[in-house]
Amino acid sequence: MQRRQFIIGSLGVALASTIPLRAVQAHVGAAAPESLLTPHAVRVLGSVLEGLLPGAPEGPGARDINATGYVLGILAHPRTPDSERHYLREGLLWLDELTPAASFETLTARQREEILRSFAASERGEAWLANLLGYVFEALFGDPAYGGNPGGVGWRWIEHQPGFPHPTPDKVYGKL
Amino acid sequence: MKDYDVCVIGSGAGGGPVAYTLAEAGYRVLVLEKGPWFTEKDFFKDEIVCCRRSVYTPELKDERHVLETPDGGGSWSAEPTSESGWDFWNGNCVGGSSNFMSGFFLRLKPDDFRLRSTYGAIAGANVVDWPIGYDELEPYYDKVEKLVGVSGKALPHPHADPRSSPDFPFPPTLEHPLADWLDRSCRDLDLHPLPTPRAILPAPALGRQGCAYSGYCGSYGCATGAKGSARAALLDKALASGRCELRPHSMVARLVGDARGQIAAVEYFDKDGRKQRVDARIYVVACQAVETARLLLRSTGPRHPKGLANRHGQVGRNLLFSAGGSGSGDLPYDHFTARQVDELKVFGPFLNRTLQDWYVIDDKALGGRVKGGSVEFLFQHPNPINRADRLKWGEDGLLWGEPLKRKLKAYFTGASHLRFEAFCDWLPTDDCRISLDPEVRDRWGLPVARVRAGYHPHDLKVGEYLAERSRAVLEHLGCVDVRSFVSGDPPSNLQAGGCRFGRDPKTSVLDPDCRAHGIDNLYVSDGSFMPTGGSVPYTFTIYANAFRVADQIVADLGGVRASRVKDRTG
Repeated sequence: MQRRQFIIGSLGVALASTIPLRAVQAHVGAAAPESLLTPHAVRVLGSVLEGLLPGAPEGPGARDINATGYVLGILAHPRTPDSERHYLREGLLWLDELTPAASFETLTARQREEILRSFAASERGEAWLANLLGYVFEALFGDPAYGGNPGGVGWRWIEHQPGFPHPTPDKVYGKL
Repeated sequence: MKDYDVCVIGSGAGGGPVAYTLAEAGYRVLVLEKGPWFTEKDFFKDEIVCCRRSVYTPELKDERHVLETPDGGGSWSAEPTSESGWDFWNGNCVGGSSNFMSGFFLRLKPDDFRLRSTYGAIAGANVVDWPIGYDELEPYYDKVEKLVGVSGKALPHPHADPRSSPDFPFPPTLEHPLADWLDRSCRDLDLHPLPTPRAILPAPALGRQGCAYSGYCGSYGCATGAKGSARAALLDKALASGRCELRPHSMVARLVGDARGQIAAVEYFDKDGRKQRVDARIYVVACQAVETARLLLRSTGPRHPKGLANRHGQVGRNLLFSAGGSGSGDLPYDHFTARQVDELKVFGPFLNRTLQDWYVIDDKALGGRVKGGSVEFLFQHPNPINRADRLKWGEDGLLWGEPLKRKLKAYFTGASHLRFEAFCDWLPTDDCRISLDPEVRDRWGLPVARVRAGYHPHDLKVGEYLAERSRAVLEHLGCVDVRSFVSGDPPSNLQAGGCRFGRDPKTSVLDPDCRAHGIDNLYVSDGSFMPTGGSVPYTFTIYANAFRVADQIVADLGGVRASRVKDRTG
């Protein structure tokens, strides 16, 4: 139960951290579900995302594309299946189990990488990280209307020409 | 008096021409569409809506299919698509999947109408000739080109199809510089590259805007109306006539038979889940092959205990997909001059090249003269999210961190990526068919379709033949890392058959006019009628045949109404 409490908390509390609110609002507007992740779990999530997509020197990193906010938006989105919410949370639990001595986000970059490699060595760990990477790519290359890819930073990095017209905020997924 | 003259179930390429033609002829038409009604104002180049979530198709947890595939041991394994994620929906909205097509509008060829008598029987395949010939469909291909809007350039060719109009009514869409490269490569190999006819207006016409060349076409809704969807090209005009009504969010539960075995009414669920009933003189089913068979099978009654038009157990049989395969190759920028790289990086115009040199194959390796197919060359779809998602896998498993970023950067900025798609006949067999699942139900409580998707081994031989020669084209062009993929997996976006037309009620569901055998006021106007599929994408032929069926329905109802004749003659 303690571990579950580590993971599941209040979105309001989570948003009190440094996560850009816009990423979440893009998905759900003002009305977000009450129970999502604790601030601690959000920091773990953020650390994992930074491990998956580190910043400079090569292109934008998870922080640059609001990846954590984007994934919180996925968790809060009314159309996200409960099974997916559960899966995303469970992965954070599994990861936490691999770091008994300390919390993941307090480790050095090298230590985090070792944990991620250990995690990916299991079938379930690799599948969870692969699923999370799908959201990272959405935050990296999706339309900025969804709260990721601010200013098209991901598109510029790969010299990608987006198509027109871009979606308007009132006609993104969930509002069409 | 009936509520309507004609009730059309489904608003895609099969339903649109019927609604348009009947409304133009002065009849009252109702179109029932299970999905929502999007217009140009709702279509954006949004990869998340297009290709990452279920927006234009139902959530699989609400509406699924059960797919049966060979288990490798001589039996079949069944799995709901909600578990596999293998989606057999293709655009459930007004205009159907024609909103999201690439619009490769190639005609069938005369031999496609007489496959059995031209090429002979193939053991294990239910190949038959069509009950009509190319000559009977040609005027309707011509009509689609002019009315829906097909752009292209008719060139002489060893397998050119006969045309009543010398050329296409609209010139080709703007072409990418690589089209010239590809032409040279093909001619070096003694091949005949053709500009691909597209259901895309290159400039404003027919009351619609021209293509914006945004670089995002297939799988995306068209924001300008240039793409010839049934909605933009036909239904909007039918609605403007004032004689056509369209009801979105209307899921037909069943067609109701009367004491004589004719159709008396349609029962459907409206947006709020309330059951509604409507009647008409004539009913037209056009729900796409899988769902059309499913609707007929579940519309049981005292006169039709096995479902409509299914006295001889033919409904759902001989389902078709499109066989063939695909391949790809890369053009690394460091292999070319700066000027060539500038050409390769042009974004927006279409590559638009087709090869039909192997539409007929005469090769001992394949057992002599056999039916071949078409090959389309195109750029990889631009979707960066989906492409990155495929790149995350390395030789040793999942990639992340700097190795992943280096791979992404190199892929997206270091080369242009070409692909080809081969289309050949998916031979009809007893192992490719639709039935009703005995257990699984959709959100309305209706039994879902169970799709047995077996393929004939001959399909793979032809697919591999086309793929091998297409790889040679890419290699001659300068591509590296050329590869191809041929399998018997059904491409769920290319469906036909299941209610084949023919003269014998014991072996077909529909008569040559696509009227159900034994039910005078029931027609099927989508791709279900096709006994064999040919070696091109289906939509053009579905459009053409639906216009043919529509003319028959107008004749059934007494011809073009006098008031409309007067309108037309001024």
